[in-house]
This record gives sequence, structure tokens and C-alpha cells, in this order.
Amino acid sequence: MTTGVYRLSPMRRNEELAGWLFASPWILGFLLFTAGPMLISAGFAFAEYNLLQPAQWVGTANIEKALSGDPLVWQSLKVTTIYAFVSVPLQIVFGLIIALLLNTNIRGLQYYRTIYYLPSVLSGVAVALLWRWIYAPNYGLINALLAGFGIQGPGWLSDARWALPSLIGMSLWHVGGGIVIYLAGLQGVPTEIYEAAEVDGAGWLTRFWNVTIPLITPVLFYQLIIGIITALQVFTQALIMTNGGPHDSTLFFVLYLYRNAFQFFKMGYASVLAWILFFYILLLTLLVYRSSSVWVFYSGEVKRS
Amino acid sequence: MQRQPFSRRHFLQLSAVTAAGLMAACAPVPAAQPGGEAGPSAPQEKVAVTFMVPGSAQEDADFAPVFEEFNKRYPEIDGQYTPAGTGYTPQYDDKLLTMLAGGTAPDVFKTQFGKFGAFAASDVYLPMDDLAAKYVEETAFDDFFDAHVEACYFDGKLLALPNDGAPEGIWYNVDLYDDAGQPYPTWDTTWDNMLEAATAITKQENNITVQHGIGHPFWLETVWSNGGEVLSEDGTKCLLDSPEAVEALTWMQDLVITHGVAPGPEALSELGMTDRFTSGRLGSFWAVRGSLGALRTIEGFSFDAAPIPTSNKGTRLTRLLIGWTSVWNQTKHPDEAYLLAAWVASPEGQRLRISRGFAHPSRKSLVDQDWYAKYECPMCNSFAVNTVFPEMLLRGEARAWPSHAKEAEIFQTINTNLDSLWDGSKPAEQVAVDMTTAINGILQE
Repeated sequence: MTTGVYRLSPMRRNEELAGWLFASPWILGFLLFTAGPMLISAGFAFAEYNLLQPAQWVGTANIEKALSGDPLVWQSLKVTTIYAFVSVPLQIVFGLIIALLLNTNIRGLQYYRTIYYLPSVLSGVAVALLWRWIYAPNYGLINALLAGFGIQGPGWLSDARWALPSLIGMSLWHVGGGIVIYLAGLQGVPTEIYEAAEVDGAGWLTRFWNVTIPLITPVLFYQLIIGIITALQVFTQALIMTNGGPHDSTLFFVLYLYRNAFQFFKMGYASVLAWILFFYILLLTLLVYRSSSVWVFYSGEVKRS
Repeated sequence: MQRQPFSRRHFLQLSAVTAAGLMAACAPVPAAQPGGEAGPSAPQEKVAVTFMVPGSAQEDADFAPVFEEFNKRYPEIDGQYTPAGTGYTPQYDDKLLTMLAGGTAPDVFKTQFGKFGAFAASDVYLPMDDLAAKYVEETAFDDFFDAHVEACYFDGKLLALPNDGAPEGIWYNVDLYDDAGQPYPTWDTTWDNMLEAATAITKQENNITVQHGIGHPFWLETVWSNGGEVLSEDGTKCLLDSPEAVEALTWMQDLVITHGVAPGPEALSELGMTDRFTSGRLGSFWAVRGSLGALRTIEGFSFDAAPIPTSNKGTRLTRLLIGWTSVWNQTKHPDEAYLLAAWVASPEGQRLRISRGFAHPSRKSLVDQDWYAKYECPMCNSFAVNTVFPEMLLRGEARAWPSHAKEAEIFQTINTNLDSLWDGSKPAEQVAVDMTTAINGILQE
């Protein structure tokens, strides 16, 4: 066995240097604007700090308060979890159904695709204001439709029982972004597999369930992960539509974090909340990632039982 | 033309130069030292002093003549108007907080309601007592309304000058009062009188209330008018569970739940109070004189202003919403900054700005001037719009919320608990107890 110093040729060395230089903007950005603030916020978590005066060490007081003494932490975590667990599957199912419809050969298909994608490019504030009118109790679109069937609709945003479901319903407005990704996934399914299945006598539903779904599971996996992360960070809708009310029924975790940081100037406590959210997202992402070995199939992959 | 080859070496050199440039551009501006020197400069050089308000097209236009005149009067100072461009939104607070934390705050700035106490407790304001004593003429302290001045003190120090500020009154729809055969609100109108008028004005169609007689009274002045208090004098205990406060909250709740004469949360989620009033579907609502900006769009009916009603005990104490103009405690030019703040709050500075709009001056001398006292509001039923607001101040029936370091958290807690008051899910007494318990928890932290 020979040992020795591994030497790069000048050309390889230059290439390696070029590689680092190309990656350096991202690396610098990550270190300065993500990793750095994360480390600092980890320090603030143990301090009382209002940005305007020097931080004061308080030990684990912020963590203890967040985990045991503040009912709004659990309320906001509950609201956010319900939102994520209901809205993400709904978005995936609706997005996939519409993508399947748009994956057919019908006239004017590109227009339909544009129409479904269009809501995704509108700003969150404008969309929130639009939905306020859709949900208006007496003159809103939904209650006007319900009134046509003799049903008196509730105060969608003013009733604590309906405010969160209303925001979940509103989240479907953004399925257009997912549709584009599903369409790409659907068009990547080889047609010969469908043809082979058809020759074997498979009907539409069988083909969908046994060919389409397994072959687009990597796309579904991606959408699930991104959907969970996005849903757990919901902020704008809650701030504009309900400001967390009524009765804290739409107090999302990030809204509560924002209040503590920028309204109450409790940066230390807000840092603890940010780390709780980080670990919660990490935990859910890891769970989904671990589960992927059971239900996500990659092209050419051989599953061993 | 021969093309020059762009080698990898060139590319790497260019990248390095660009990265260095970006790093330099992102380098923070050195923070100013408290009361420090501006550094070497020619003696004739003007001292630049910056001033920040939330800013909007209207506000920018209002301030233009103020700064034009200031820079004429003080040729040695360069007063710079630097609006945040956020409007009166929470984003202004975020921007101001970030600038203060980053050491790049303006020399003089305005503070929004709900943040004065927190900023004051964090020592971001330059105490002005000595400067006010030094510049007596420019300050003209005695000309301010007492309530405005009181609102600028925190822990016994003068931390702001009031650049404007109005007590809250009520606006009522004269036509709706006439149609219902009700007397207009006056200085002697009580809660019971308001309820009687509101009941007569309220109308329903197909089980939907299409016209409400009264808007939501603001909780603070309702509690105050009934002799209640929110916090103890030393700010360490919540007093919202007192019988006076509970009685006030009960009156508010009954307007919506028992009598159905004020819009509930469901109706308000559709159309806010001001829009309800301007569209002729609300008998009266609580607001400051500045609401004239929105009310001037009214064409179909006449309206007027009145003082808020007295409680059934015959007492009234409304809240005063003031504009705080303060000097940053890290300013390099405290004297020049103070002179700018004093100018913005001066009678002439306010006249130049307010006479173009509808804000309420903080100066006694201004409410007697023709532009204010004889303002003609086209759809107003009388000149009450020019008299009731200053009269409440002169009678000592207006007061600003005593600033508190935790006021934002206290207000948030109250607002959240008021949800139960307005939708009737809890009786007023329980709401008062819940608020008191929660606020005492905040105060003890």
C-alpha cells in the first residue's frame, strides 16, 4: 500500500478555485444572512433583549415560559398545525385533480393553464383583501350563493368556529403553483407504460392508481415537504384578514412571533419561538423524509422487500 | 471589429472586484456618538438635521411648506424631511425600531400611538427639559393644551413635543336623527340618551340590520367617563375589574347584544365603522376631528360633531390621541434637532401644515385663529366641528393614555378579550376579570 500527498494538477486546482468562487455568493449569503442570524438568535434566546438596550442574560427563563407558562404558544402551535395538516393535503389533491384535467388534449389548453396559474402571481395582500369580500357575511359571494339555497351563511371571519376553516379554504387559491409542477411530473410519465397497462386491460382508474401515482410520487413528496414548510410559516393572511382573531382562533405561530418581536420588543422570547418553529418544521420534515422510503418511487429504483 | 477574448482569469478578477464592491456597499454606517462632534467641517457648513414621519402623498404635501419656512428661518440648519413611506401602519414602527437599533435613526421623528412608552423606557429619546428651558421663545410651552404636554412626559422627563393631537368626539348623521325624531347629541347627552336615539334610528330589513343607531364606543374613554381606570397610578396593577369599569363594559356590550343597536363583529367584518357612517348606515360613531378627511366624501346627508356622551353619572373623560415629535438621544446635533422639533410643534409650523388638512392643533392660540375657528365644512350642520374638540380640552375632559413600557402588550390583551364582549360569548364582568388577570400577569413579568 502506498501513501503520499494527493496533488492536484494546476488545471484541476484552478477549476476547484473557480468552483468555490462560483459558489461563494451563496455561501457568503448563507453565512451572513442565515447562519449568522440563527447563531445570534440562539444567544438571544437566553436573554432579555429589546434591540434598543443591551441584552440581559436570563438563563432558561424564556424557554421555560414558552414551554410551560404561555398558553398562546400552544394555541398558536395548535392553529398552525391544524392549518398545515388540513390545507396541505387539500392543496395536493386539488392541485393534482386540476393538473390531470389540464394534462389532456383539449382546445385552448394553454389559456386554461394560464387562468389556473394566474392567482399564484398575485400579491398576498391583494388576495387577502379580495377574500375578505368573498367571505363578507351579508353581501359576500359565498353567503349570497348559500342564500340561494335558503341557507344563512355564518360570519366566516368573525366567528371563531369558521375563521380558521375560512383561511384554509382561501389557501386553495394558490394551487396554481403546484399545478405547474404536477403537470411537469405527469408529462414525465412514459407513455409506453400506459400503453402496456392498457394492453393488459387496465382501466383509467387502475392506470391512474398503479402507474400515474407511483411515478409522480417524487413530485408529491416535494410538494408535501414544501407545502408543510410554507403552511407552518403562514403570516400575511392572518395579519390582514383576522389579525389573529376572533378569540385567537387564527393566531398563527409566526404572527405570534412577530407580535413578540416587533410589537412587544421581546426579541429574546421571539428567538425562542423561532427556534421552536425551526425544530417543529425539522421534525415534521424528517418524519416525511423517513416515510418516503415506503411510498416514494424513483425511476429505475429497485425496491427490496 | 476584433472581439477581445474574455478569459476565466478576467472573469475571476471581475467577480472578485464585484464581490468586494458589494461587501463595501453592505458595510454598516458607523453609529453616531451621543452628543458627539460632527467631525471636522468648515464653519460655514450647514448642519443637516433629518426628520421622519410615516409619510404619504398628503402628509408630504402638508410638510413641504413647514420645511421650506424652517430652512428660511434657520439658514445655518438644513432641515431634511425624510418620510418613511410606510403610512400610519405597523411598518413605520418596524422601520423606526430597525433604524434605532442600527444606529441610523433620524435626528427627529414622530412616534405612533402604542409605542411611546416602550421607546421611552428604552431611553431612545433625548430628554428635552433643558432644551425647552434654553429655547423658551421657540418652545412657547404655555401655549400647549395641558393634556398634550402631560402626554409627553415619561418618568418625569419631557421626551417629546406635541405636534398635534385631537380628543375623540362623536360624529352623527343629522338626517337619521331627524328622521327618527331624536334630539341631536349635546354636552348634556348621556349614555341613556344615546341608547334611546340609537334604538329609534336602528332599522332592519329581512332580518338583517341595515341601519345601526350607534357605533362602538371606544373602551378606554367609556371606562374613564364612568370613573374607572385601566392601571393604578404607579402602573403596576390593572383596575379593569372595578365596578365602574365593569358597568362601562356592560353598557358597551348591551348596545350590541341586548339592544342590537350597534354593529356586531359579523357586520363589522363586512363594513367598518367609518364606511358604515359615510354610506349613511350608522347614526353616530366615535372618532377624532381628523376623520373629516374621510367624511368630506359625504354628499347625500348632513352630519355634525359632538362631544362623547357623559356616563349616566354625568361625567365625561375622552381620550386624546397626540402626535409625539421627539429627538433621538444619539443625535450629533441636539440643539438643531430640538429647534426643528420645536418648529414642527410651533403655532406657525402647525398652522402651515394643519390648515391644509383636518388634524387638531396642540396649541391653544391656533383654535382661535380663523382658519380653524371659522372652517366651513360643506355638509356639516353647524360649526360644532370647530368648537367641540378644543372645548373638551379646555374643560379638562380629555386625557392621553398614560404611557407604559408594556402598553402594546396591554392593548393587545384588551383587544383580544374584547372579542368576547362584542360577540357576547362572555358577560362583561367575566371579560373584565379575564382582562385584569391577563394584564396583571404581564405587569408582573
